[in-house]
Amino acid sequence: MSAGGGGDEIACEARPESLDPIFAFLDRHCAGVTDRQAAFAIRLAAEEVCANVIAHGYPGGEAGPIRVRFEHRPGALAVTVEDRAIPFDPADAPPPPIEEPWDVRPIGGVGWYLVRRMVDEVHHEARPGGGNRVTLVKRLADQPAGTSEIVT
Amino acid sequence: MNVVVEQRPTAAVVRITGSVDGLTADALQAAFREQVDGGATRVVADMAGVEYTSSAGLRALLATLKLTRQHGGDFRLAGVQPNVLKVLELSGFTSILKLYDDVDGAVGSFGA
Repeated sequence: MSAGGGGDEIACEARPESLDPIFAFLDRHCAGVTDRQAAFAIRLAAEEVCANVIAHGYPGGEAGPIRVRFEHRPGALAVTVEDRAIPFDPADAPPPPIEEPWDVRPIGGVGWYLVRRMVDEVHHEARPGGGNRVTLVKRLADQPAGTSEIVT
Repeated sequence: MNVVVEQRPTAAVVRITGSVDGLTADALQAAFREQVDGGATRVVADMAGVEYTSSAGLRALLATLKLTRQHGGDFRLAGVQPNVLKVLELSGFTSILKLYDDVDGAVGSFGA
């Protein structure tokens, strides 16, 4: 784990056992956020993105890297997830089955939909050399962009 | 996440505390399944102590809903907290699951 560029990051292999340190990393950064709804939203969106990379990103069996960066930007929280996985643009995610009756509704399929609904911005880039970079931004309600925190 | 089960005359109450995420959802689903396998097809999840769920938690809830109803029972939620409720609403779960303010209301809804 290393700090730099205005944020903190964790890098590991995209395996199920890496969820534990990744979630601990996210929880540690979200714990200090005053806007609890924003913290909840970015934690959830980041989990969904990381879980998708780990579950689907490296289908060949050989797990590749995943790197997660958390930034406290002025007026916003940002999480960036980078991988060397198969290309996947979230815009291509199938529509969520949220209106299906319970007996025919598939289990799953709402991850990317929740990501889009929970955060304010979702950016995807194909990385040079292969892989994806997804950036999630959640604006803080208690600290609008461009303002400084006033301590009294 | 911690799970405690209480058997009431009309339903099994599964009290959950902590986060339901990709690390804990499988254990939660196993706890629900254990109730159904043991013959309790009417199950209430006490969600008052759950401040977080991701889509992993939703999968556990939907799997349990299907399982209980396929066995002639039902799966109902009690005490859902605001952030979790938002996730349930966005995902369409509030139209397929019955929610109650508290455990007594959910258990009582099953009748005598």
